[in-house]
Amino acid sequence: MFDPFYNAAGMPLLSLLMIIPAAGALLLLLPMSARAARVLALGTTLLTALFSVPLWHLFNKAASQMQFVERVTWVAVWNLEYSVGIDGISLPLVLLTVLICPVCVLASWGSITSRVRGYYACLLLMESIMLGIFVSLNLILFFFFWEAMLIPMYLLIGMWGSERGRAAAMKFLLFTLGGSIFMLVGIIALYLLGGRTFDIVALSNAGLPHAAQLWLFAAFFLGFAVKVPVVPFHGWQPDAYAEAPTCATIIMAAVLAKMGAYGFIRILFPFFPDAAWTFLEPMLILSVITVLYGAYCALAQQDLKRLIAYSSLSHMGFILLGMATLTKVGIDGSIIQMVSHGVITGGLFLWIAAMEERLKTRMLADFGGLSTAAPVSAVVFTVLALAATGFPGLSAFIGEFLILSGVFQGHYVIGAFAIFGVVLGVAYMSWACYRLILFKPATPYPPSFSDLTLREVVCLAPLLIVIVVVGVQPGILLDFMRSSVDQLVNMMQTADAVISASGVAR
Amino acid sequence: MNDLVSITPLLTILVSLIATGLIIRTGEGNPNLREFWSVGAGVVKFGLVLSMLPAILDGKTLHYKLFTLMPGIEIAFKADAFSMLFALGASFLWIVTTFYSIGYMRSLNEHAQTRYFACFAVSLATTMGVAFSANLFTMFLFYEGLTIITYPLVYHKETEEAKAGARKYVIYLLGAAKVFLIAAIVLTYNLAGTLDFQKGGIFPPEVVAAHPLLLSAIFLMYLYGFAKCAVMPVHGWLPAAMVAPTPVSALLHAVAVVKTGVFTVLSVVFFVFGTGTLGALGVNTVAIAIACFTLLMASVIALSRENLKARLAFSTVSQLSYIILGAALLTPAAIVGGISHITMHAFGKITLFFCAGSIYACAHKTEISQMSGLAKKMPWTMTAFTIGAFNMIGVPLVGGFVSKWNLMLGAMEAGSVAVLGVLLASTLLNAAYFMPIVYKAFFEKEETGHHGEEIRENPFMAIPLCFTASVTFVLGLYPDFILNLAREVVK
Repeated sequence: MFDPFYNAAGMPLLSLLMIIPAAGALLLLLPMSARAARVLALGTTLLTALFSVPLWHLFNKAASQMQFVERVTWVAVWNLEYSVGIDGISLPLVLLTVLICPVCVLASWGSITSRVRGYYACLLLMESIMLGIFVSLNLILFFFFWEAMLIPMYLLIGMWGSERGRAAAMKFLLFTLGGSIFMLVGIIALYLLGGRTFDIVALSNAGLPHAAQLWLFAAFFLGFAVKVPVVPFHGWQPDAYAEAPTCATIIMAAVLAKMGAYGFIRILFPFFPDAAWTFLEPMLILSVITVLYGAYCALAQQDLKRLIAYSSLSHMGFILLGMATLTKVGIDGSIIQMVSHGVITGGLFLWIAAMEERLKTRMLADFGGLSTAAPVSAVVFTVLALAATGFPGLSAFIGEFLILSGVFQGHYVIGAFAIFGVVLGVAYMSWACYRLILFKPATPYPPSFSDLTLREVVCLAPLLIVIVVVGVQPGILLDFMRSSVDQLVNMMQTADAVISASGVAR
Repeated sequence: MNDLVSITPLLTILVSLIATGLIIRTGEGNPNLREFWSVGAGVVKFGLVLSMLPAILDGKTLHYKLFTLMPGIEIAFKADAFSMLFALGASFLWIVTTFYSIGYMRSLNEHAQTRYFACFAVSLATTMGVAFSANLFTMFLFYEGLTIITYPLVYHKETEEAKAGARKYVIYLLGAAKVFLIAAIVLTYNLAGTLDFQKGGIFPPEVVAAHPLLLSAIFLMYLYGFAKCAVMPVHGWLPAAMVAPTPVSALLHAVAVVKTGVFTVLSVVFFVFGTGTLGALGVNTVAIAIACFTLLMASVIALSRENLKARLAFSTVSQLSYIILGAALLTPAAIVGGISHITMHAFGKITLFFCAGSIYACAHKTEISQMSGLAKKMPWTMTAFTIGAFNMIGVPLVGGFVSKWNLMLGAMEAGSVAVLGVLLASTLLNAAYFMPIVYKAFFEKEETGHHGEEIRENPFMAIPLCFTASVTFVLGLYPDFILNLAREVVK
């Protein structure tokens, strides 16, 4: 075949991206001061980000196949390989991950004071694992990362979260494990049915029998749906988001949720195209329920972090909605929305954490009058809130626009309900904005209350830049995605045409 | 062709954004310098708009593209006769309103004046953005921006009433935009493949033939989605917005914001659907019915309002529907009438609001019943008020007559006796709710002890309102300039 490390970068770039943070995590096990641990963690994440630049630079936008591929035989008998690679669908998510991680490190600079080394080791391990999920080209490798992620995440929520963190962490663990058991069964069945391979590319559109596709689809769907989460598999999400330490919340909302959605688009749809078409309507309905349910719950929240957690649920519903249309614009919109939601929600949680550090509360009722008390933070929150509601010219608008454009190619009723979700989104966000910025606070702020510090602004700045840049120049992402998404949708449509022609009842 | 690339439309937006920065920087410490920035930006902005006029009158169109987001979705600007008509009026009246604001805000010793002037400057920037947008996306961006930035202005007084009003304002405007506009824009993009404005519409004929019902629905979604045009039943935000300080009601809720509403709807009529397509779909009849209903109902409600600003607000609701009606009739004269009414109504209504503000600031009166004999104390104000009222009624020699004349001509061209009847009836209603105020102020005796002793007109307010009143005369006597620009759109 070809040289294991041959690719455009001339080096095992993707493996390096995973190894650097993992190595950083190992180094953190050495005894060192808290400050040194922080600096080391920041340095590691920045170095990882630096190594992602060639990906951006050398990526061949015209090619639809996997790039920067590395293959090493792992267990020859099982046809098992260590293989990684990225295409236009995974690249934006890899970039999102390497952008979010340094921000996370900076965000917890002052707030984490106990067991600092362990905390940052978990964080770096998470980065390595998340990148692993986005670049895996092998189901076993994918599943390994999928499960491995639970350990550092469980520790982050349980040990550094709020007092109810343990319970939330347990809930998170049980839900996710519950989902992935089905996925494991699915993987084994797939191996037996699909020609004894774990290769993700080979398994795509492998022409499995229709009945098998339906069952396998259901099994994998459960695994991914819990992670997204999709209503009714969302029970762990608000608790975990609210009780986790800031950076774990950001990771969950910005990246972890995207892994579920990525699973849909990388594995679920291409592996089982017939089943995807069969389940098209139920998936659309489920996603629109997620949109509405999340937004409706967000309306009732008094705790700002929970409000954003539920809004996140609603936005994930949107992402799924776009994918489930199985149209090019819809999937384009979903991927844009994944990146956009990642940075917006990340920014919102960061902002909440900054305020919580000052006021020791995140109840809306305790806030108010930020326009005069802390004008910079008021402006930042307004921009983030506007972005979240899909203000034109900011990133989420592009995502929502494309998703709705996909939905309105035939599913008018679903589209109407989705629009209603957007309206609810405006309602809770503008209400939050009003309470935070204009309302008079019930108790005056302590004298120590200050506006955002330079460190916090530095944390938020890259996110805001991405929001604006993607908002006015979505081409920088769309250009990367185009050929991969085209290939996926064409493949789906061919599969649809074949099955329609064969006359199998759906 | 006749397209020129010019950055001037973008500059008209930037100039007041820069001014906003300067206003905030200067702050309460130096109010004179702060207001100087407002006036300066107004003058520069008007100058910039004016500088584009020769080319436009030459039949050219100015273009400037800032970003291409996706094929067919751009942030781009254009200046043509239609946008000039709106931009000239709005930018000119901003200068006048700034002077008036200085008098009003200082004589009432209002709080948070920096926020006020800063938001005012941004709202003018977004208004220019709407006026000069070259596609639906850009227009939507600035339209939404205008809603958000005017919220603090409506909220200004921070009383419970102001909060409630501002809430209603934002719910109606943002809600309608999200419910109807996003869907309408997405569907437009799906069907036409672009959002760029084009004379005669962007929907290919085969799409029009294939989806007549869907397109009609999209048009109505635009009509209600751009709720700033205040057609019933999405008009409720406008009376609610009257809790704002009067200069805000004057410039924004008689000129910039509401005219943004009709301007966007008219842009959709001319540049998204095209008059031909709309006529073929027949959906313009629905729009005519909605407009006629609104302009009659609003006038009837205005009759029953005792609060002067509330009456003016409903008068605005009614007058806006004249403009929609003009466009929906689709005949050249009616369109010219509708478009020219944008300017004619602007000068008349701003005069009336200036008067209401002056009465409130100098005599502390808000209710019409308290205004008997007021003309003796405030002769300039009440004279200007009378001229403004004449303008609304459409008395000859005043600007409003010209546009109404064209509207009626257009109704006859369309052969619609019913519309003609509605126009005549509404003229009567206009007279019925304005003339009693004039009569009361001039001819009724002041009730004893009713007005305080010390009612003196503030020249900072009196001069702007006399000025705008005289402009309505000028527009009535020399309407050619406005009419020519309007005809340019119909061409």
